[in-house]
Amino acid sequence: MNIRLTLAAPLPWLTSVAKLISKNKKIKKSKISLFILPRTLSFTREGIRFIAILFVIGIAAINTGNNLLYLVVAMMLSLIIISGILSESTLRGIDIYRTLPKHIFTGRSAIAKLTASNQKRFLPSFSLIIEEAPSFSRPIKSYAKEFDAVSGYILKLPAQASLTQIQSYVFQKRGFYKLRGLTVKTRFPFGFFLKERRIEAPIDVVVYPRLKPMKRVHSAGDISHGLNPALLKGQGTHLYNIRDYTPADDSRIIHWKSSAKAAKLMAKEFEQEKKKTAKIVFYNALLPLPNFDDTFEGMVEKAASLAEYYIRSGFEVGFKSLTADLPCKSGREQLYRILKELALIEPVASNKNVPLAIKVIVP
Amino acid sequence: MKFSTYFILISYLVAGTGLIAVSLTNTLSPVFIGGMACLVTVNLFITIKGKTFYIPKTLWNILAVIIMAASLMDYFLVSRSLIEVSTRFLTILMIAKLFDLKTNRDYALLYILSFFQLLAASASTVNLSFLFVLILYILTGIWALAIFTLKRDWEEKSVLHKEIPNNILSPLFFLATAGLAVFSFIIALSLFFVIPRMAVGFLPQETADTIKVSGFSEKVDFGELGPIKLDPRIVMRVELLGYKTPLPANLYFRGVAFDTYHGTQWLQTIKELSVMQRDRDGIYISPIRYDWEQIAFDERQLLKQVILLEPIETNVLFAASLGTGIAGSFRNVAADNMGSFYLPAPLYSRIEYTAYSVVQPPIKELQQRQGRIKNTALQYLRIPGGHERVVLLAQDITAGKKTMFEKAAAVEGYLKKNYRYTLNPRRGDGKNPIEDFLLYTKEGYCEQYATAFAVLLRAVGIPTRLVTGFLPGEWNSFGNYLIIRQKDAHAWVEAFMPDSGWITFDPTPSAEAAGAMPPSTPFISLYIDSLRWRWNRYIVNYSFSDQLTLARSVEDKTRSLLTNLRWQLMKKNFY
Repeated sequence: MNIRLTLAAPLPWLTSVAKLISKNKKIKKSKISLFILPRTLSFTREGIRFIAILFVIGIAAINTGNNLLYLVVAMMLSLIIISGILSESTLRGIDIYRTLPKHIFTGRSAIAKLTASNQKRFLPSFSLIIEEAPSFSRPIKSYAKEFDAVSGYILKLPAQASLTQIQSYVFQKRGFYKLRGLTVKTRFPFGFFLKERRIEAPIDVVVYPRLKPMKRVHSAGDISHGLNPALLKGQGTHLYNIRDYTPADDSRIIHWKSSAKAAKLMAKEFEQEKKKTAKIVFYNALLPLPNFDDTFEGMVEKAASLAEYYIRSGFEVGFKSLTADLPCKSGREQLYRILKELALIEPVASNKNVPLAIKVIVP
Repeated sequence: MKFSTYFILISYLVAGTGLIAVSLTNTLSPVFIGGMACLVTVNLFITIKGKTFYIPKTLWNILAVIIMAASLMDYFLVSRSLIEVSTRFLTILMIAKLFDLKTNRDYALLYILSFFQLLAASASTVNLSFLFVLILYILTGIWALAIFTLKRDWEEKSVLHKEIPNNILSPLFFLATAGLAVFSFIIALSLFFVIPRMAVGFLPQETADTIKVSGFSEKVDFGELGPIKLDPRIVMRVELLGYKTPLPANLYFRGVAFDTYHGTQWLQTIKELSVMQRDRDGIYISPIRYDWEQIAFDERQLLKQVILLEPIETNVLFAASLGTGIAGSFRNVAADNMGSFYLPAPLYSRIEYTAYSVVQPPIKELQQRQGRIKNTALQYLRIPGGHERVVLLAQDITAGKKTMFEKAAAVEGYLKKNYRYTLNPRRGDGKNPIEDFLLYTKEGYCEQYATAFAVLLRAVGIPTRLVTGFLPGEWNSFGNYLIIRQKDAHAWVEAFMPDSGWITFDPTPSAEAAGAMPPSTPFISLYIDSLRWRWNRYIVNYSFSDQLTLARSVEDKTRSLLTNLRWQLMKKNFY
């Protein structure tokens, strides 16, 4: 059933008043959270019907003066009070901890761990719906604001017990997300009202750009696993020369085939090896192009995919943009550094007449 | 037990409660209710076993229309009672729904139907049983709604898509929700008393169980009171404000007075009705004043009674001794020239009103005076023909007595001493019932005693009239009120004494003296009746004025508490 915030009961009225005050006084949006009350209450569809019936019976009671109808009205009102008490008891004493994965990519499901615990001594809690609260403050990046989170549901949480659930988050756009907390809702006991409590659990999330699979990058030249030969004698793996064996040499470098041919011990000499590097240069220039945002996002995703490809291929990868410059390094940590830069990258105005482009420099 | 089994059982409990509620309306026959209850039980077993009847939606809609059409025909052609038709319609619809319980929406509809059944009961009964049905409904309703919400939320929100674990509902869950139901009932009662009442739109609910009572119409046939003196049904309950026990002496609940005796019946021939005027407090004031009333007022013997009168097919309003005023939710009240009060028409419903009376002082205090009989009282001296022997007897009894009080006392003493009280008097050879009683059988009950007394006094020149009403009945110490039954119906005599006015005489030997004292009511019956009394007094007849009284009482108590607290604080600071 679709739970909608249809009508406002006492608590939402207060919330509305708070919002009205905040609007009138032109308080900055980041301060609005100060006025948000700890509980909100809204009617469900059944609740609205219940109130409508209550209203009709109330009128009938007044019109007829029938005290038994008044008694029925009083019973219905008492059910509303009981509902308020029980839903409050269900929401009170609930703590929820959320653990998100360290690295989150756009469009990919990120599995979070939700641990709910009931701190109450005796009373269990029933029918808890746990959802990510909408961000109370404006996201830092204006485009980084959309995400889907599957709500968690706990049928019964006994007193002094805790329960862990898996919740899936899908962020639709890259960027920096400031998740402020969770909401725990319940329609228990009678389903007439949806009561909601916000639990502060602030967490900052950087969502990396989407990665597209890349098998081979032609423009990067001949890329093979390992490192580039430097054409100098060194400690590499490729054979550089064969010379006479000296007693100072390690017996493991004896080249037995040549030794047999020359009837004396011959030793191998190896090439000096040099690490392969790739520098991804992203000209993140703000240009007056049609569909610039989509083009820019496409470029960001391409840069991220290239970084991932080169790191996977064993390169030392560096990243350079109009606003950042990361030196070449290898390994996953370097990839995440580059992805983080790309997660937060924005087009910048430039007067150097640069195009919007990505270039990979492979020496 | 499986969660689903619990859910089905509780839902059927709600349906059962709805069925009990409609049975309170007294509009459906016990056979119909019994049949429906059997269907509910059979259906419950079938549903628990997991078998369901598939009724297509279209068929279900057709069925509902047919039931609706049949109900309309029932209303226009057969019963012509809206409440009867609607209760029957709701019941049949609910039973049909039980055979089609598949989705959550079906269950929700079942709960709504049973709720409407409760509403139908609330609109058509004032029985105490409604309170118990309401408590049962709160209990089963809370269970059902809580379990229904759990089931629906689980189906909508849980990603597991399997049946709810069985350990969710423990006995503790049911116990705790039962406790909540009690709490909810207490809140409901508190709200009931504070919800603002409007002083408009008072329509008393009709009750089907009307009691037929004789003796309170314009004529009463001789011997009419006899059969009802065996009827233990309660006619009214009277709370005497300010009184516990002992009760004031000479307490009779006066109904109607008769001026003319025709030999076989008493009649009202000089009755003159006048509409009573309301005073500033909304009390209808009686136009009749008795000479001894001043004495009563001087002695502050004004008696306030709250009377809960059952529907007894009469428009007479009863009041203790001499009624001086009536207060209640009536459009108007009339009084006759003999001190009786009447509503414009009989109310076929239970009514509550307040009567104000002065209780007659002891006769010894009144008989000091002697004077002349007013001309208006002379019409109460007529004796029908054929009572010559009765006249002679009266003269014999009063021979040598000088004052009217002495003569009346002599006749009263004579009757009490020489006659036997029985509810089954024989028939004698006399020309008329009074001759039979006085000269032949010498046995009878209040009607014979009172009529004989009235005729004997008339024979010696004392104006008399017969009065019918009720004796005080039984005192219920659980609620401090009087229970007056049909069998407490009584007849006595008012005799006109110069300068004192109409004085009550009761020549019938007391039931105790006559050995006809009924066995005392069992403890438990008195307790249940006190519950009924409270139910009617504080719930069914709770009104705007009661609310004002309650508010004033709370205000007074709070003020006195605050004064007390302030005084205590001052004392503490002083020392």
